[in-house]
Amino acid sequence: MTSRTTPAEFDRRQNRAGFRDALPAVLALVVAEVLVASLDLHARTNRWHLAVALIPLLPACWLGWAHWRMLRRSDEFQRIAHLEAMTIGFAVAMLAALTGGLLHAADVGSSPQWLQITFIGGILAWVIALPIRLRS
Amino acid sequence: MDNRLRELRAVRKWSQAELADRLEVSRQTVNAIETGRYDPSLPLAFKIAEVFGEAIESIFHPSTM
Repeated sequence: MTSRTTPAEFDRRQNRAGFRDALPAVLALVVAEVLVASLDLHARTNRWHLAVALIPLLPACWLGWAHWRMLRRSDEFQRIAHLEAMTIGFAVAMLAALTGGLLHAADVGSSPQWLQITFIGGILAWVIALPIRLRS
Repeated sequence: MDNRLRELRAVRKWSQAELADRLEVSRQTVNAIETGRYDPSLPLAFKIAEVFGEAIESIFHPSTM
């Protein structure tokens, strides 16, 4: 029996398509975040203020679409692993949101800080859970 | 569910990647089935049986534990 661990053509096709879909979205998200962060939104009060603040939502939706396409390309085992990892990420985000809310009520930290911790915690849990579930 | 996937693959000297290509799934999926971490769906089980030219019940059988 051969025991080489080279990826199958299915994996290579999937990886190529995944990078092609997600990379531009990730780059766009980084550019949008940097752009919005570089603007002093607190000082602006005109009607474009909200629209500018929400610009990163566009590449974030693009990234969501890329992830959806990746799920559609996945085989049955990968799809279950992805959904389980997302479930873990969601649970961590919910727990972090609850913890942040309780601590904020006790005057610990600010809302934006807790929102960032919730977001990063959820994404990290998701990203860590996925390879563990897919390990081979 | 136990299976004879690794044994059947060994007889044919196929790598996991080669079998994955024949089944049109990822290598991770072949590995997960071989190690008993994942039981394939019925359509995939039929495809596995077709690839090896054996009946499903001769490849998959209830776990003895």
